[in-house]
Amino acid sequence: MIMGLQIIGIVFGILMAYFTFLNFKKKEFEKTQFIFWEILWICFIFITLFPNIISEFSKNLGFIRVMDFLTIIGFIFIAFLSFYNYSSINIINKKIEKIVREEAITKSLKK
Amino acid sequence: MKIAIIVPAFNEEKNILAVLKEINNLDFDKKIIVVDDGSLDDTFNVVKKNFENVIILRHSINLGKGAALKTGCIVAMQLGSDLIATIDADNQHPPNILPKIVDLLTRDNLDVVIGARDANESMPLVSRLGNIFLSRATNYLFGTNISDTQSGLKVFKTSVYDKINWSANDYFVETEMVANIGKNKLKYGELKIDTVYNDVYKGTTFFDGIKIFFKIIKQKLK
Repeated sequence: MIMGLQIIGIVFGILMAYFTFLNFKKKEFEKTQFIFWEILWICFIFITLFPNIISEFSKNLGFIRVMDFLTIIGFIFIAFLSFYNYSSINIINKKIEKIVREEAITKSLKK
Repeated sequence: MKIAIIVPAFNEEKNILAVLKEINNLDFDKKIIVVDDGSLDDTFNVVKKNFENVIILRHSINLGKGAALKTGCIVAMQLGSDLIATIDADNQHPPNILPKIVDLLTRDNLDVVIGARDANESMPLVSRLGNIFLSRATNYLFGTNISDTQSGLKVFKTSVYDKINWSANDYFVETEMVANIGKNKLKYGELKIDTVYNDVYKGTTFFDGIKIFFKIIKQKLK
C-alpha cells in the first residue's frame, strides 16, 4: 500500500522530470544534462515507490528508518547546493564588475 | 603635484553641482573624476552639461561605492596623478578643506590623510554611535588610531594605492582602506572636518553597520 508521503514524493519526482524535459526542449539543458537529471528523478521515484531497496544500505550506515536516511541526504544536498550557488554568484559578481568598469572607462575615453 | 579628485555618485543630481563647483574653484593642478554608479536620476547629465572639464564615467548598473572608487582610481592612475582624493557627492564634506589636507600630507610626508568628521550633535544619533563603535573596533583590530574610520574624505599618494587597495564593492570600502593602512603600516594623519547631513536616510544605515562589523572580523582573519 502506498503511503501519503510516497504519493507526494512520486508527484514531485514526476513534476521535476517534466520540468527537466521542458528545459531540454527550450534548449536550456544540453543532452547530457537532460539525461543526468532524468536518471536522477527516475531513481528518486523508484526509491520513493520501493524504499526497501535501500533499507539494508541505510541500516549499515546506522539509520533505523529509511526516511531518516533520505532526510539527511536531502539536507546534505541542500547544503552543497547553497555553497555551489554562493560560489557561482561570487564569480558572476566579479565578472559583472569587470565588464561594467571596462565599459565605463572605454566609453569615457572615447569622448 | 597632480591630484585626481574622485567623486563616486549615486542618485546625487541635487547635491553634486554644489560639490563640483567648490572643487572646481580649488587652486590645484587637478583632475576631477566623477563616477556615476548606475544612478537612476539625472546625475550623469547634470554633471556632463555643467562641467566640461570633469571626467565623468558611468557604471551601467549600480555596483557600490567601493567599485565606483576603484574605477575612479584606475582612471586617476592612467592620468598620472601623484595624489588621489576621494570625496562624497552628497556635499557632506566641505571640499574647501582639501587644500589643508593636501598640505598636511605633503608637510608631514604622510601616505594618507583622512578627513575625520566630528561625532557631535549634527551627526544623526544612530550614525554617531555606529561610527564610534566601528571606529573603535577597527582601531583595536588593526592597530590604527583614527577617530573616523568611516569617513569618505581621504587623500593618499598614488604610490601607496596597491597597499591601500580594497576588494569591497560596498560601504565596507572605507573600513577596508583603514584596515590596509594598519596592516601595511602606512603613515597616516587626520584632520577634523565639519559635516553636513542633507539626507539622513542615505549613506550607511544601521544594517550596513552590522554588515560592516562582521566584515571587520572577516578582514582580521584574512
